[in-house]
Amino acid sequence: MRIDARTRAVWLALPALALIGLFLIYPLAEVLRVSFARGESLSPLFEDNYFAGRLWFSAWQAALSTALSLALAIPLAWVFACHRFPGKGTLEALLLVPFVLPTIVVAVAFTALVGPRGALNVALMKLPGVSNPPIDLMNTLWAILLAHVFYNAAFCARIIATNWRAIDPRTEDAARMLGAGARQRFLAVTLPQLRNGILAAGALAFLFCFTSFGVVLILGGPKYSTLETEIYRESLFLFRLPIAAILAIVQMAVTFSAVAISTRLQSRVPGGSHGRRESAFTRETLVAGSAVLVVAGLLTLAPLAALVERSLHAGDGYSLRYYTMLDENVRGQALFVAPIEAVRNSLVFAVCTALIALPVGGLAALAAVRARSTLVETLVQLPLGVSAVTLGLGLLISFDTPPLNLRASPALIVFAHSLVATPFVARTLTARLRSMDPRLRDAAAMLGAGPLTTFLRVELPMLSGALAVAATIAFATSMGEFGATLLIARPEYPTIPVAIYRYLGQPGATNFGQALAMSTILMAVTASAFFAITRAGGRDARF
Amino acid sequence: MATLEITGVRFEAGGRAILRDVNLAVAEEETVALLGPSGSGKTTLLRMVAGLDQPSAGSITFDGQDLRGVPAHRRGFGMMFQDHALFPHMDVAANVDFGLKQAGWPAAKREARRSEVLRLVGMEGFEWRSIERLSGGERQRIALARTLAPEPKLLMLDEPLGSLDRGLRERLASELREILGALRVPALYVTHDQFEAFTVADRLAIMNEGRVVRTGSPRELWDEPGTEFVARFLGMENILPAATVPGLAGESEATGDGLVLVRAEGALLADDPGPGVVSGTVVSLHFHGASTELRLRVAGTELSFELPSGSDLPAEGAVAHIRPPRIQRVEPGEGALL
Repeated sequence: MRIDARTRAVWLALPALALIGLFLIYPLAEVLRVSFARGESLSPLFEDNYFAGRLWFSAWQAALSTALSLALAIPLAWVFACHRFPGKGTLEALLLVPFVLPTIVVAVAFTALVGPRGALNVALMKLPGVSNPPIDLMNTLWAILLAHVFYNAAFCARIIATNWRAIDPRTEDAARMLGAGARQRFLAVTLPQLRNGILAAGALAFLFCFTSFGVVLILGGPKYSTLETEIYRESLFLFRLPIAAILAIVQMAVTFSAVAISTRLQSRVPGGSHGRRESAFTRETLVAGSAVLVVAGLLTLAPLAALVERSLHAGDGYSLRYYTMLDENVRGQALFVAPIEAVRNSLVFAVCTALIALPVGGLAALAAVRARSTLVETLVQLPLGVSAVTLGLGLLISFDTPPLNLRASPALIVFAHSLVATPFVARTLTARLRSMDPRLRDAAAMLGAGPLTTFLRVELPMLSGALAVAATIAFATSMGEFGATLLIARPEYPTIPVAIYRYLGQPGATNFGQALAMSTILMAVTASAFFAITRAGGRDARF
Repeated sequence: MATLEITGVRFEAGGRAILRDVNLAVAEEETVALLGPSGSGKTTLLRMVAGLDQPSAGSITFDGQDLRGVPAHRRGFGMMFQDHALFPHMDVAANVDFGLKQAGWPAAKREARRSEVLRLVGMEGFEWRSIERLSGGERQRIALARTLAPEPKLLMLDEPLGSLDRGLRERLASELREILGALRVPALYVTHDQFEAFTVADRLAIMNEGRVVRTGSPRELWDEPGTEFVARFLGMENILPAATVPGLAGESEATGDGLVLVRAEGALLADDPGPGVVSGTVVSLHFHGASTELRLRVAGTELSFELPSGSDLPAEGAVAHIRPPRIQRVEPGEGALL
């Protein structure tokens, strides 16, 4: 009967598998089909090192971004895992904000900091003798790298710090008693035990940077192009779908490997705590610790501060002009509708996404835990392995013709967002369900409660925190989704990120100002969602 | 009349036999302790009786009714879990009320019953405490109260004192004995601690490798362990081949390869070797206060005796003669534990 119950539980994953089958597997199969379709010339792929060049650039910029992120993340993990200082919790949460921000916001924030009209240049031009913008990092590799480190450093630090806290501090004490100095202790005892955490964090950072879209598209400009941005250009501007499809398949091979590696490594990152005592900074560590925090703090806060400051700076002084203009649709502007419509669309899509992803992902989590099925768990995580633009391309190809002509319907956007949000929802709830003592269900049964009563009175109340976290994540994921939405959104239904991108593409300070204002709104929404999660959810918050 | 009857119960999981042919009966008002090393199948057997797992073969009946197909929540049994499994999102009162609500008790009766069981376990006034703020011993009492509240027809306790420290465990074991005695329902008590089992149970069922290998009252098992396994599990380690003990050799010619158990409690020094006396070399002496442990090597086996510290003890390395209160035969094996 227990075996039967386990088998039956697998059916709970059906909605998730249907969603994945229809909006991920089927579109990817279509991409595959198109890439093998005859009659199209694939020769452009091999001209001028076109293909190898994109692949090579995607890989090495990702590798370099990862290395730089880890270089900041490891000291940061040391600060957070081994020390206590006033304001630590707030600072740790604050530094994580970039990770939850939509890529478009990050790209706009860096434009607001280091672009020609950016805060840094404006400040420098106030100096005597400086008339032209002295720094222009726009359309350079530096802007891309900076944004990627901004994105990934604190996130990597969090994974590594978790690993660090799980190291038995007595191993370090033992090394000390055996005569090892601080340096030797770190290199010979601590670092080897951190290996899995560092590798898992690195694999994830590589994955994010390899498929990075908004950052490369906006900060890199036409000069720098990864597979991801190239798929976008090929499909939307050059209409060379077979070439885009082949690029997408190569990219998928890389991302699936990275996901597989990081999932395996992450399962080996030890959790729990060995009662590691966090100590105050000593005279020697204070300098190093503060330096790490200042660098990380500046990198995190400067772009965000610049974004807010620039969005309030209209014309010659500070005003809310860019914000008040959001409900006007000036004729001839980039959008067919007023920007405020984009805000409304985003909110509606995000609520719908949460309403779909929560039950679908929740049931999948129940299925994975009850049936103890790693297969179900892995299948539900599949959408994470597919880049946003590839997904958009797949949906573009698959749902363009009857019987599945959803292209004109905003429902397609909601389904795409739900697909992307479901793995996060399932992950959050799976972790919470796993941490629940299975004997609580047995105890309820022994007290006369049937399966439904047990679920409603014991499991659901205990899940409420995790459910709130999952709903918030689904909401924020939908609000920020950029790559897939950019490909499938019809002009009548732009979302905030799509609207921002269109504004950025238009000349003039007013358009840029509107992009800044909308980015600031989006940042405020996602950051408050994140803080709500960390405050309310506490231990249920997993990313 | 036996109320719970377990007949020929087997259980396999993942191709491994966890229970092989378990037979056991528990009479009305009787507390039976399932005692055995970890992995012997005690908890699994409990889960079969509870209905949380289903046997692969065999039958379990209660008051003559076959329990097959009756789900756990309809059996009307109570179970106290190892580490208690209290609902962390509810307070003490809600935990205790849970089973009463399922059984459909009206609110007024519920409240009375809750106060009653909380008084029984000595936890009056804890109703509105959160579970997280209870100590280990307090949780144990609340778990017992929650289990007792709906008046289960059969009580199961799975290592209920397992996570507590020694002193608290001994005190609570005596309390449990009184509570179980007053309840007048059959009870199954799982433990791996023989002293706890002696304190709480009317009868012991010793389990090893998925079987009940011996049943009997604590007194019976202590007086006649019968097998090497039971003797060793009860902490008696002075077991050696019968042939090596003089005075027994002649008597045991027919079963010269048998084993004997030399009882250590109340042993005395003897002046000379002879029948019923074991002789050997003193390996070590450990002073324990009132008594001193003397370890004696006899024909390659080390035996341990508790002797009064006051007596004139032989030195290490000397030859000593000891007269134990009894030397009894034990069947070899039953899956040697040590």
